Parts: sequence; structure tokens; C-alpha cells
Amino acid sequence: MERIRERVIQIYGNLVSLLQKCIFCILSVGPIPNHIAFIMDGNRRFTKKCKLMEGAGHKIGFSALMSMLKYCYEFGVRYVTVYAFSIENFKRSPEEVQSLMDLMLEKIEEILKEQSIVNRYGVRVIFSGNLKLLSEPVRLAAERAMLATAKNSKAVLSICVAYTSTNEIMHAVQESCEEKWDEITLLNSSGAGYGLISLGGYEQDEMDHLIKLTDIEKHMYMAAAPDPDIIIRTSGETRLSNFLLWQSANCYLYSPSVLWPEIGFRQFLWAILNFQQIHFYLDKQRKQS
Amino acid sequence: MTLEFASFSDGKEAVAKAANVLFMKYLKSGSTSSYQGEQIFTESQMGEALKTVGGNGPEPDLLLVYGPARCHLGFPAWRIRYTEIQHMGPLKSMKYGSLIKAIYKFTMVQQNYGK
Repeated sequence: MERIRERVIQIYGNLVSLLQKCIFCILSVGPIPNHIAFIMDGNRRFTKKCKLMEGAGHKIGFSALMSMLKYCYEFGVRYVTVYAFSIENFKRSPEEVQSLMDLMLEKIEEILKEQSIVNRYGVRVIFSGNLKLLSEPVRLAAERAMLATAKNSKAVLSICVAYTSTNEIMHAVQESCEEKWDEITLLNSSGAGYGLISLGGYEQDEMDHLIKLTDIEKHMYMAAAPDPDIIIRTSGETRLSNFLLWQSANCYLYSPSVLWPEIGFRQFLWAILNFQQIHFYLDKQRKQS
Repeated sequence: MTLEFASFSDGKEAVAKAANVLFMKYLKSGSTSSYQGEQIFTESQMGEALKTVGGNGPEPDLLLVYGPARCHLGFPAWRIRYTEIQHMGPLKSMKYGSLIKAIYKFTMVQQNYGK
């Protein structure tokens, strides 16, 4: 009896999988987004709504993330970015922050295992953000994960931890200044400086353009990925909360009303369909800017 | 009421200009200590520098997007950290009723600011 039930569930699972593959086949006639970003909002609300224990929402949210990653990589999306932990989230109670850090540590170890999604789809994992703000065990685990998956080249997963867009921009500006300083110091010490340190040798116009936009862009935490095509924020919230503000100029912002742990194939499908509808317009905007 | 016109160049290009302002300030301060690793700029200094180059101003609470897509099209990043972005449809279908609805939706929003 038990075996028949298991068999039925297996057949049902295979049918659903086949249906999803067919839908992906049809969709891939249109443009496929290269990069999708997720703001995983609503875990705590889900916990409250379903009257679960604290932290359960985040654990279920992690499985929802694994499903969404599977859909993305099966469909052919090469870059996926997730907003795992904001610098602003450090303001939460120390117990909550600690439990989130523990969950992160646990899940990093899990995704590095042999049969995990990361190895199945050849995903390179990158942790973007001010990693110095993380506790040592989490930071070391993140660095280990980045090293272990560095050779994977089929897809990229950027996990934003201790990240805000304003911090990212400020950090990129700082790195650009340091780089420019090193350049000038080098020129000066090799005798070719002509007193560059005192800047007597520069015209006012040149001084305003010492640091260029390209210098700043190459120092962004997210420099390894192209600009996102779709940003999906669950729970119906319409703000970006300091996420990818620099990179989302021509990005479709989608806000389904489901909570993150409830997100599924339907929302993914809807996001892709909407994206395909406005792709031509956004592409035009991108070329103009 | 203040009416401000912003453009695409108030976004990324303004940040590049502000970066130059900060760099100049640092050089002029004559500090010769090693740069490496320490944080030399704060976000508020960045905000001030952006203001001097004209790329900063009050942060909108609500951003109404008129056009075919819900997309902020390069609105200055420093100003839309917590802005509610609502899509209103094509410009030619702008109606008073939709505006009231958008403002009502905004009043129903609850923000934690990360907490």
C-alpha cells in the first residue's frame, strides 16, 4: 500500500517536472533574462501567519530559495542574486541576528555538499557585501564556499550579506580613491610626477575627472555580475530597501504579494512573462543611457 | 511646494563627480597616513559631497512611474533607498483617481527599515 502511494507521488512529481520543462521550452522562444535578483521578504510574517516557532519561517524560506534557484538555472538564467542579510538587519535583536547567522553557517555547509544544487548546476558562489562586519566563523565559511566553487562556470549565485547599496557605492568610491592615490604616488616617486601630489600640474578640468565612472563600477561588490534584468521582492512591498540601487536602472521590478516562503513556480512564470513583454522597451532604455 | 527636475546625469555621473570632490578633499587635507584597509569616508560625507555636485536632495517617500514598465530608470540611487515605487501605467492615462489610490496604498505600508 505504502509502495503504491510512493509510486503515485513519484509519477505525479515526474509529470509536474515534465510540464515545467515544456513551459520553459515555450518561454525560451522569447528573451531569457540573464540575471534575476530576489529580495526574500516575509519570512517573519509567514512564521506569525502559520503560528510556527521562531526561525521556522527562515528555514522554509531557504527551501523556497532552493526551488527558485532550480527554476532559474533550469530555464537558463545565468546569474542569480539574493538579498540575504542587510547591514540594517544588524539592528535586530542580538538573538535574532545570531539565529540568522547560525542558519547561514548551516546552509553554507549544506550547499557545499556533493549533491547540492551548487554542484549539480555548476554554480559559482560569491558573497557580496562588507564581509568584515560578519563574525569570524561566518566570514571564514563564506570565504571557504567562494574558494570551493571558484572553478564552477555554468552559473553564478551572488549572496548579498552585510550589504547595502549605499555602503557598496561608498566602498567603491573609497577603493577608487585609494587606487588613484597609489597611481599618483607611484608617478611621483618615479620622478615623473612633476609635483602631482600638490596637484600643481593638473588643470581644473582634469582634476574634476581624476576618478571616472568606470573606476567606481569596477570596485563595486557586484562587479562580477551584469545588471539585473528582474528584481523580485515578495510580500507585495514596493521598495528596494537599499538593494542594487546602482545596478537596477533598467531593471523590471516585480512585487508579488506572496510571502517569501510561499513563492513558487507561478510567480516565477509571471515574472518571466512580464519581463518578456517589456523587454524591448527596457533594452531600448538601456541603449539610450 | 518645491518642484525639482532630476535627470539621468544626477545618478551615476553625480556619484563620479562626488568621488572626485572627496578625493580632492582628502589630498588637500595633506594626510599622509596609509589608506589601506581603514574606512576613510562615511556615508554622510558621501551624501554631503553629492549635495555639493547637485546629485542629492530630499529622499522621495513615493515614486510614481508613468510608462510601460515598473522600473526606476536610473533615479539617483542615494535618494531611493526606502522609496515606495509604484507603477501607474502609461502617461496618457494619468487620472486623479489612480493618484489617490496610489497615495492610499502608500499610507497602508509599514516599514521596519531593516529591524
